[in-house]
Amino acid sequence: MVSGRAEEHAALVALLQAKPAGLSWQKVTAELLEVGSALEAWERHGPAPALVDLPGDVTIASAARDVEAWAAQGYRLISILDEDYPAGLRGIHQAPPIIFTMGTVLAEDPGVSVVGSREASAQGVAMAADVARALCAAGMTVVSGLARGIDTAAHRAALDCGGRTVAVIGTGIGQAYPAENRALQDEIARRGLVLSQFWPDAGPGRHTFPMRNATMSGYGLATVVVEASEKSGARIQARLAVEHGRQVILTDQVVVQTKWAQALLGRPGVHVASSVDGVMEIVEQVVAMWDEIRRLVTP
Amino acid sequence: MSDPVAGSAPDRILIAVGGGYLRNPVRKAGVTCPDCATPVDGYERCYPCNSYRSRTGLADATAFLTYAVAGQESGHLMRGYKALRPVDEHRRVVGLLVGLALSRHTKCPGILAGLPVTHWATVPSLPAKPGEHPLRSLVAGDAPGTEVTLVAAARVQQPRMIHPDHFTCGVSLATESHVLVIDDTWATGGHAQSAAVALRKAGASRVSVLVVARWLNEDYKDNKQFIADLRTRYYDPSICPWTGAGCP
Repeated sequence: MVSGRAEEHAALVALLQAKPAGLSWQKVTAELLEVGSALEAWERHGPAPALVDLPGDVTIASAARDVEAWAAQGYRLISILDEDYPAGLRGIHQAPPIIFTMGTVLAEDPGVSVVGSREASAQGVAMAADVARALCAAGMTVVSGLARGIDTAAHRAALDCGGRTVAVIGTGIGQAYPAENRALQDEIARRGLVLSQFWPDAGPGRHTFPMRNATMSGYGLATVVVEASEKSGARIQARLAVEHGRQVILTDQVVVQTKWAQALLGRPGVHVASSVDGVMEIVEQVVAMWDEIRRLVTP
Repeated sequence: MSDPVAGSAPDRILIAVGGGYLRNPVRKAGVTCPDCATPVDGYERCYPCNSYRSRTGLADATAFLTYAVAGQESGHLMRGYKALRPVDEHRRVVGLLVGLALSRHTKCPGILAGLPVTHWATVPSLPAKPGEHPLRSLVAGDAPGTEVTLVAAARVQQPRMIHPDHFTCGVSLATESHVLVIDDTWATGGHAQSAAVALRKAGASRVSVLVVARWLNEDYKDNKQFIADLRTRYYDPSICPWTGAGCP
């Protein structure tokens, strides 16, 4: 069935808002890819047509009003079925069925995540900035999570050297967390891309940051963990990246300082670098590897 | 110290991009079914394979490249590669996986059967769907011998059951033909085994089945524990899919 993008988006939002029994967001993702249409998924799983419209009922019409309101606020909604949905993200099983964006969306975006502690040392901050600048110089996109510390340093350095940066945030796109990074978020929205997988007004939550880490891992080709502690979110992202078939680049400092990094050594796609040059050497090999995969297999 | 990135060898590439979630099936008596590699909890065969056992014309040998777990990355891979909106990355990984198995283990089914593979076939969707099956285009360059085209029935009552009329093959095969059937996902085995039966009817004396993924659901019996035990058994492309160990 051929349907307009607006109708498709309204049907998808309605399906996610109505939450039919047993239909997790992950199942919605699988279903959308399988049937290729949100309207068809709504017809299969949405509530039976109402006999009378009651206030508060989720319908395609009510969802369409929400979609319009978000658009008026400058939030762009992208469905996993849209051509401009990030291609890497579509590959992981936690791929969100919808994302909200502000900024320039590129379906094929050669991204590398730069992540690490919120309480970073001066040395860690300097290394994050150096890695971000080197990635930009190599034409890569710096992906990070807009948190304090390593994330902020990576985004800032990418912006300052005129490179592209993507902020994958752990709140709705209408929120900013931490509040002190609102100006940075606005600047990334103007010059790069801010991406959120949550409803626009959603605040931060214990579960939202690990979900955001899965999205970040899927979005890019690799995750560089610059500096981290035993409890960093970077630990979750590194573990997820292995499960996603994404490459993980740990600095030797992270390996020395954390047990989780030591446990990752030897796992598929896990690499260690002792310098910015070392990180970039691995990044170049990862890019070359994907070129080789594209040469070997044409989908 | 660092695990070198793949370079250009396809097996290294496959480990780098799929090793974290692909898992070599376990082929061990009493632990998994000898026909389909699903956990059996002490029985000799799983329930469906045991119930087919007395029937004639089934595959002589089966090989599995990986487990695919519903709701996990491996399950997403096997659904995404053939979704209506296909996931390019998934097609590439499935292509690498099956291409490597066909090129590295070309002779294994022939050695097991005592008769070299002469033909290959992919299993079409059931009931029939228009267009080329994505697996066919991925394996066409690497599969050994001559292709035999199977045609799926337009209407079927129970697609998951074994039925000799689910697929037809327009040619008759010479005796001493050995057909390698290539299928993407084995859930109950009905598709692949119906294909095997159709090829026997066409005259094949040997039929071997190579399956990309043995589908597992975590919520079935003790599968959750079985899958958890595989957590760090990262994919090793050198393990022979026909034996679960060294090549025959």
